[in-house]
Amino acid sequence: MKEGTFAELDGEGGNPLDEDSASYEFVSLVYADGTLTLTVNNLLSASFGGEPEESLAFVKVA
Amino acid sequence: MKKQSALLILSSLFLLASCSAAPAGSSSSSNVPSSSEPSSSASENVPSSSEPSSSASESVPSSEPDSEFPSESSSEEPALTAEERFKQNFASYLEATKKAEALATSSTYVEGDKSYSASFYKEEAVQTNPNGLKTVRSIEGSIYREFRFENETLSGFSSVELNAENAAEYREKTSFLFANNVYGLSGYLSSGALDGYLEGGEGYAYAFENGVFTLTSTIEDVSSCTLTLVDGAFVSLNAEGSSSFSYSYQKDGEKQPDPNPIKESDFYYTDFTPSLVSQNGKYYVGSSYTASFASSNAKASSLVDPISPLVSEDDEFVSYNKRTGEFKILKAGQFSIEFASAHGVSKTLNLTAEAQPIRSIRADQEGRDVHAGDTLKLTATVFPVSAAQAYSASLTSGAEFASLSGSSEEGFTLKVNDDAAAGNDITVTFLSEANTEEGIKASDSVTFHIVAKEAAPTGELAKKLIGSWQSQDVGYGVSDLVFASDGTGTLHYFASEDGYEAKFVFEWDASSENSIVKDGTFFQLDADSIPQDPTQSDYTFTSLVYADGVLSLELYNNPFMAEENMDFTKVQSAEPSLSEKLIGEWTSEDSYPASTLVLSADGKATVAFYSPSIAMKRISLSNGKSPRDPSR
Repeated sequence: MKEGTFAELDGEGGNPLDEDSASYEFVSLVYADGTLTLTVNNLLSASFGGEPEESLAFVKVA
Repeated sequence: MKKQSALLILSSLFLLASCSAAPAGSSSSSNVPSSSEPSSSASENVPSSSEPSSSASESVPSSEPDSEFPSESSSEEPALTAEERFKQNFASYLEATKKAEALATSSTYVEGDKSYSASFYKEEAVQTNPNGLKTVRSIEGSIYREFRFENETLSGFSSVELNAENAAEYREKTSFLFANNVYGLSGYLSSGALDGYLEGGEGYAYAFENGVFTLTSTIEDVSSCTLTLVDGAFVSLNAEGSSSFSYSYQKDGEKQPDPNPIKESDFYYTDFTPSLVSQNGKYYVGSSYTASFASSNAKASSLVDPISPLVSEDDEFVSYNKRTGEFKILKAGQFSIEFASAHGVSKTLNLTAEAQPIRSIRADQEGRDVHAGDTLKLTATVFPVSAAQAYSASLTSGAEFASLSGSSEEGFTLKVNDDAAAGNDITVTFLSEANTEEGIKASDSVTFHIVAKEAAPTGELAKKLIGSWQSQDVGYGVSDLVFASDGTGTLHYFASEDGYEAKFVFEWDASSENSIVKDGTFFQLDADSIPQDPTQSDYTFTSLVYADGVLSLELYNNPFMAEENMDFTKVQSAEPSLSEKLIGEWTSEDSYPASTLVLSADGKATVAFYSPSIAMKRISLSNGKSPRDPSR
């Protein structure tokens, strides 16, 4: 993922949110063995003292 | 002059044929005596040696009843016929002729209304030919000189240093008339002209009376030759037939020095004024001029006394082409050219050169649609093309959408900005450095319209096309055709016929197997990998068609004016590229509902993200400029 290009969209018009309004921040997107692993920081969770990192493993749709 | 020589040779062959049934030239020998000096013992019209054999005395009658000659003596020696007399004695007659003719003081050759004549002085021949041509051939000391005049104007000059090997040859030139491409009557008779009569046979008749041979041939046309003998040497020849001519020489006392000899120094430049020939008296950069020399000596000629310019190879103002004798002006300003004659006179020519007035300037490329990020090579032509091709170029509109660099020497490069917005125009204006005759600079403009790049091709055909294709038609290299997923393509082409190598760029779409390359997007790249103007490219795109896994390319080779065809098959890589692996739709069951990630060929990505820790929370993420929630 190119730096500085990851933006969270609002739920209304699909417009990018500024950093203060966003609830997630991008950490990494890694490809390995046919799997893409997306890692983001859940800023809301972090603010409540929880584990901020959340990861999702994606597989390609055939 | 060449034409004249050719006519003489043709004429010679024709005349030879008329005087002999045998092929002429079959016994060609030296045209003239090889001795450098005629024998001093030769008396007038009488050779010093080579008297005919006694058995062939002119007083001996022929034994042939039909060609008997009256006996001129009471000798009991067997009488010879005219034919026998001619054949047996011809060699000695010819030898005597060579010696006698070398002592002649004049000679004439007349054919119809064409007359060649020569006066012979001591070691000099002054010959006049038809059409006002005159030649003076002379020897002075060890130098042979030949002056040629056309209507009394010197038109040619040559000189040769004599040595033991060439002295005889050049001495002959001063003693004989030159006609029919041979020197002298003896040269003509030695050329094989009478071979037919020397062999004889049916169709040839011979008569001899009062020292005159009359030879008649009925082999083809009826022709006859009359050869007059004086003291055993031929002194004249008269030919009658389809062509008639006469050849004779005379001796009027001993050869004398020419009372008015032509001297080489007559043609020297004792003084001269150089100039460069210009129609309007002006000298323009880029134009070429020849030199002219005025002299107080009206006869002075560069043929005898050549004048050479002293122009350095690194002269910044002028260059000299020795082959053409032209001076080309390289730079405006004041400069001088030194000239020196071969015999020691030097002069300086001062000149002022100026930029050549121009008529117009024209952009070499036409306006067209361009995309953000495109690079174009731009040039212009100044007219007349002989003018200096010096001009500037500037962005006269749309300067915020592009940059322009380069020079008229190397060409200009227009780079459309990567973020140039579609719908705008970019105008490049060329301006000549030189002025027109009206005193203003000429200009021409070309405008380019920025259009948006179309969406990347999609669909089954696009999937088939994206990647690298190669041809089995190997030239100096393997031709390679690459379809990028963003709708652009490249072709590295090696012509299978002549090994020519060229590179191209193009844009493609996948809407039709028969029309893959977008119109007006196929460009050949120059050495700097900049797209060339199609009108200046070696190749013009014709078609690219997909069928059954094969891409068939057809180009038109402009210089050779021929179609070139090449088939390509896709290069099957064992492992798909990372890009190929990534592009597409991805899903994750780590969340509920499942999150989706779409990576597009255009480099954009969208994520419909459901937190794995917070059920039902959906967040849309994107790295594109105008992202859209994929769930919408």
